[in-house]
Amino acid sequence: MKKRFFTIAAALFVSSLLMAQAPPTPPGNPDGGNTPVGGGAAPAGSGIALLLGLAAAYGAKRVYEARKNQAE
Amino acid sequence: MKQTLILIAAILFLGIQSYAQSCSIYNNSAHIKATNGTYWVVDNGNFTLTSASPIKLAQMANLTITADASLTLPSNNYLTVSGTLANNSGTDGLVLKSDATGSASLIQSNNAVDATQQRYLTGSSNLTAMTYHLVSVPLTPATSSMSELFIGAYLYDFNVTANAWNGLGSSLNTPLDETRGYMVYVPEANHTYTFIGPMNGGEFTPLVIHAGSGYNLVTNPYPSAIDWDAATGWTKANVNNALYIWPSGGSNYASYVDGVANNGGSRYIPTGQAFFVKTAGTLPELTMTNSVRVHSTQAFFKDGDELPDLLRIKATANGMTDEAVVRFTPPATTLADGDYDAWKMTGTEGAPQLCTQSSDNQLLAINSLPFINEAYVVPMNFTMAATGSVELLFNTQSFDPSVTILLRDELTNTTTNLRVQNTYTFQHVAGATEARFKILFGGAIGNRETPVSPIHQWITGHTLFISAPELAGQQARVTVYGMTGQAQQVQLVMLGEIIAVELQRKPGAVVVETRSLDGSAALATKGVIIR
Repeated sequence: MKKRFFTIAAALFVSSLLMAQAPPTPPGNPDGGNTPVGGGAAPAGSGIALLLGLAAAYGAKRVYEARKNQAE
Repeated sequence: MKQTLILIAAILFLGIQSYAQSCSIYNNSAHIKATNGTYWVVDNGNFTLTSASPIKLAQMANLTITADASLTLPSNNYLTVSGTLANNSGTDGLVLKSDATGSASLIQSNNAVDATQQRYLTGSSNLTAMTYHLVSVPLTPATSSMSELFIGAYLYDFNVTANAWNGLGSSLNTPLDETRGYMVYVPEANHTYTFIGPMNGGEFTPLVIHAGSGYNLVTNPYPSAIDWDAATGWTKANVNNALYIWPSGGSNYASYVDGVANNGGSRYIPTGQAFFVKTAGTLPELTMTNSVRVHSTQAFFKDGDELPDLLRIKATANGMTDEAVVRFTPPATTLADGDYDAWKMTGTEGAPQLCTQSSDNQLLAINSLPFINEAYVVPMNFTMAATGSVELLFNTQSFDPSVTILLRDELTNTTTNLRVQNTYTFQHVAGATEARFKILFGGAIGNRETPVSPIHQWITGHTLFISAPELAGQQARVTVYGMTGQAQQVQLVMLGEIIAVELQRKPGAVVVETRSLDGSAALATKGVIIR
């Protein structure tokens, strides 16, 4: 039992040493935790297009309601 | 008015130079002339100097750009000014272009010459395309560069102590350090960035500190490529001899050390490129001079010529690849060696990750070993986040035919003779043990003076094959030794074109010796197997 404990501990120690050597991969998605310099336009599909679409839909709805109220 | 003057090297040296000694060359109202034979003056216009080959580059002893003139060097054009480059026309007076085909290359000896340097970078609106670039800020350290230089791009610096990327955010005014490298992600198909100010020339010392895991992102500061293997000009104190870059759009780092590359690495570091180095101890120093500068057509990293006694292994899976190299060279040791080995750097999630282990359990992308006389076993690790089929491709062509190279798959308990079959396909299950493979080298590697034995042998499954056509009809003794050196099997055989000997089914590494009975040492050879 004691021998097994030491074996596992040694394996974990070696493993942590090896992991400590590993340098980082570039982030899988730069949008996660970073923004473009100057806040530039995010590419399509990153969420901005969706927000703009929702804003346009909301604006159209407000115009439609205003005209409807005017007509009544 | 912009005029174009095409100057081919031969014309520059033979035609124009001799012609210009007597008069100026006019192109409409613009002209270029020589003073005292070597002193070139550009005035009264804007020249586009074309010399589209590093072999036939434009060379000038000295060059002065007068206040009312300017000189443009198009992309993939080359100019060397061996003496003094004087630009009296400010940053607009000297323009180095860059586009999808490459960048202009200038080698000048003096420091802080004003210029406008362009840098074309590819990108992608797909933010998971991994089209990162490791970049330099190619201006003198006295310049107060700001993050606005990379407007529109995701910009990162590298925290050595934390061994981690650090996003610099959206501010236009984050100070940048010209002695460090940076990483950018351009969220569009491409973008040409412009660096306006004094260029670097002469001695340059990138910032390198010994902290974290020792990885520092350093810079090629010059408007030309640099040669990592230049005979003079480098000071690498407590800095390992391997360099690493991220190939834009790739899935694994490329590395290069001592003439060997993987994943497309190279000794030539393009202008505008940053790269990783690893420190080896306290007070590291990395300094370069003009002697390391070259005109290279290396737009990106490529493999060099293959060296002898070098095994290249390429893993392909999930639409991505990774390479590991095992190479034999006399000064190397079985330990991880900063002068001859490149450490494994982790790649994209989902990409195959392949490396070998040194005898001190370091994970290496390029593993250099000393010459061997009999046998050596190299552990090889494989991992991948996804489950799927993996193909390993082995290039063994640089070894002498007498050398045996076997692949042992500990998971399937199979052994493959890589001199006969150069591919191996297996199923990987996510989370499976990384230490799955062993590569077994048998025979004399690197000892070119050893006479080639007339006996060749290899093992497939439990069968030893012996080929000795020159000794057909002669008897030989086959002895199989275990790891302790004890003979496990002794058998007399009659040599011929090719014979088969069934081996005892005892698992473990063995050494097989086949020796002719007439006592001639020249007839002896050895092999190694794993059962």
